[in-house]
Amino acid sequence: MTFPSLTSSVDFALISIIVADTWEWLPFTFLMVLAALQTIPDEFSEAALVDGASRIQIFYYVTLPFIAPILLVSAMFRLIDSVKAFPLIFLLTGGGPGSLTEVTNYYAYLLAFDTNEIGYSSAVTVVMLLLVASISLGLVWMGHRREAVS
Amino acid sequence: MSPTSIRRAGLARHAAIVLTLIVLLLPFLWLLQMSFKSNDLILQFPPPLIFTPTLENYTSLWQSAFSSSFVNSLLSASFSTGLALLFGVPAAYALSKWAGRGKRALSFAIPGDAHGAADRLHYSLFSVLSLDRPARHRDRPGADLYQLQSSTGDLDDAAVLRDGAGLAGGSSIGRWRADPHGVPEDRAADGGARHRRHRDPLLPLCLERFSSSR
Repeated sequence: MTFPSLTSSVDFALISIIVADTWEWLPFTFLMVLAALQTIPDEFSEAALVDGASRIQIFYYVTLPFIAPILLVSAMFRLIDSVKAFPLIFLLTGGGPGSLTEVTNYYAYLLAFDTNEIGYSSAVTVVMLLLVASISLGLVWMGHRREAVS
Repeated sequence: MSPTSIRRAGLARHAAIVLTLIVLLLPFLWLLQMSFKSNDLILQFPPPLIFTPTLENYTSLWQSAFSSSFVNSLLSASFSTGLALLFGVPAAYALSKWAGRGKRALSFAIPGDAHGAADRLHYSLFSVLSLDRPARHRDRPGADLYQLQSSTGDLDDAAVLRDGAGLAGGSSIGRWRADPHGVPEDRAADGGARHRRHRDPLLPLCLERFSSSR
């Protein structure tokens, strides 16, 4: 039985990047959430338990609302970090096979240092920055809206 | 405080803000002005500060591989963020509810070991791959830098320091915002020197955040 070469396979290259990135940064999310969970007083979940709530209901209705702001911040950090993931792509796939795993900042790097199109590469980077900033602002706005509603 | 010293303090604060903004925004502004220049203008020395801007770089953006690369970025970023939350939240929840011995050690060991292992593997792989790669990849600008980084660890530490400083700074601001006057005012009431009212309580907070940020 032979295993496919994950990073050079058309079907698995992008998945292998996603898996490696998740594996590398999972502890960051874990630590942020753990810190948030340790600040929740036990009284709320104990009260819910006395009222007959199940463990899943306690998690969904008591714990999750408490950690939602931290989840938002950690999702934003992860999103920004993943969008600018460069070394993983560079060392695992080099943007290949073809241009299948060529993400925007790797593309900008190739334009600037492989083909010497520095102006064009700068334009790509500026547009990427604006798009990532708008996604982040969208997430922050969602967080504020959620707080205002609650 | 006299009105003159209040005015001076206000001016100094504004100057500090402007200076910080210039330092933070200068690389971006340089990048922005390059995006409005043609390649010939960019490569001119000394670089011309006054020039006729061109939108050529932006118009050719949509006829190139930019959109497909951005889709790849979005796909990998959203999936890896989703997966990190999907696995990270239940794992942290389970550990927070676990009352067994060694919980504290485990809660530090998991993030530290996993991330440290990832970093080490990252750079070891880089060094191996940059030696094994075809010449086309080996000759790329930056390959030597990464090899040096993986072999000495010096640049690695510098990068960690830079990343950590950003993250720690960002998260410490939250603490400042939550209680900007409380502790310094208490110190003032106790007769603490002016420059120590902020430094003494806030420096340990920053260091604590800094140490936990990477």
